[in-house]
Amino acid sequence: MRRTFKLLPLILVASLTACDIAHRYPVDTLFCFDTAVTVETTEYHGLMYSVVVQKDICNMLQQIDAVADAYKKRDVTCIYDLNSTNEKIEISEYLYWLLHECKELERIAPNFNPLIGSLSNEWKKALEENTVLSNDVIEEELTKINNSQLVISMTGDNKYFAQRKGDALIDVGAVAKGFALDQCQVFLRKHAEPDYEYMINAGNSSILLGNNRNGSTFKVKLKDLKDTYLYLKDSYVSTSGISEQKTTIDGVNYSHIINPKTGSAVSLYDTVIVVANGDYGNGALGDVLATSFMMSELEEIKQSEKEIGVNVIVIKDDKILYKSESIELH
Amino acid sequence: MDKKKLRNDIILIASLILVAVIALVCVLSSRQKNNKYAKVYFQNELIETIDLSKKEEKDYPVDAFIGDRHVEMMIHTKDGAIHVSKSNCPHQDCVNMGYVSVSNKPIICTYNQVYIIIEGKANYDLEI
Repeated sequence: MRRTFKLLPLILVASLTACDIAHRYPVDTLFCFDTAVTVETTEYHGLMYSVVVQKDICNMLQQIDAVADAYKKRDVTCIYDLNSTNEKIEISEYLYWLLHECKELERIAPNFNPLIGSLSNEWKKALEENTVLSNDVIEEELTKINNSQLVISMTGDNKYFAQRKGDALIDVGAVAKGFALDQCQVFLRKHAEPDYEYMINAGNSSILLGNNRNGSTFKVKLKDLKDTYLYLKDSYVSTSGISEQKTTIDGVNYSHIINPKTGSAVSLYDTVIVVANGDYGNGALGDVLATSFMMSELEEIKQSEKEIGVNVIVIKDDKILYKSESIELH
Repeated sequence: MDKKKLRNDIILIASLILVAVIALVCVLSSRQKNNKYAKVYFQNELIETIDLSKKEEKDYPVDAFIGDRHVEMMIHTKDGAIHVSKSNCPHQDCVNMGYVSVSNKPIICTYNQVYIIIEGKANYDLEI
């Protein structure tokens, strides 16, 4: 009995520690893809397991961020290197599959082309000076895109190569985050049970959701709409919008979203949200569709969502212009 | 002997109940805490943690270097919200975001590689 009493302080300390741990779970935050990315798994399958899984995911995200960089040289061969030469160069496996994904998505998404880099840079320069790109420059850039080609190949001994033919530059900004989330999803499904609880949030524009705590859904607020929420789990959520990155010139809103067919930087909507189920590939697909739909007529969006099997919300002037039937807003 | 045993049992049970009650109070109080912190990162390193629940009006300078390039920013807090009041970045997207007081909405300055994240309780998990 006395021995039991002696153990009481120990039991008390253990209980309090357990209470504290039960309310703490690790969140890793890192800067990549030009945004803040948070990686969050709960300790449902063990705190240490979460910590290890998150570190691996962070490493993976940083590797993909490096190969997708179009603006500066990195330690590995990246888009910048491909844009610096027309030679065929050896690339990493990640970059190969990223470019492979781009080529696949070019066939599916109505307004996506990874060779938009040079046109995009011209628009960026013009908008920084509060001017609109002239029709002559747009025509010149579109000709470059139409006359350029991206060629990728792999050899039997697992070597990967890519070659940019022509003067257009590669820009994988619209797809890189989604592709990275796809790789995370593969990793999580390989190393964890199907009901694993996680959220990987790449700057709120590309989000991968597993289960929320105890298998529940995540409550997602739509910032353009007052007190409107989506309840989601096991999904990818891709958002494309101009509210925070627009330049208004003569009453027209221009943004970083460029139409590779017309060369225009004018979006038809304020925000497009694409919700896809958690299947592999839907991260990149959702991101590309969200951007592509910003420049698509509503009928084209409706047609695409049926064919591809995603759900869409289109918002303009703080009102919903269109939403898929299966999306429930609360 | 039996009386003594009974008394000891009662003390033991009472002690265990006390431990359980303390643990419950601990859990409930940690749930009710609504402290809101803004974490400021530069190149993935946490450089400042600001307690927004104090609702102080205060300036926090960011003075750093990326290679030879000088990073100069001023972060301002007011009424439990935070914003970038000055930045030497060309686009000024971080400044134009205005005040942010909710979690899950980071302020990001890509050019200066600075980002601010608010950690705290919101009635939703994320905002898009």
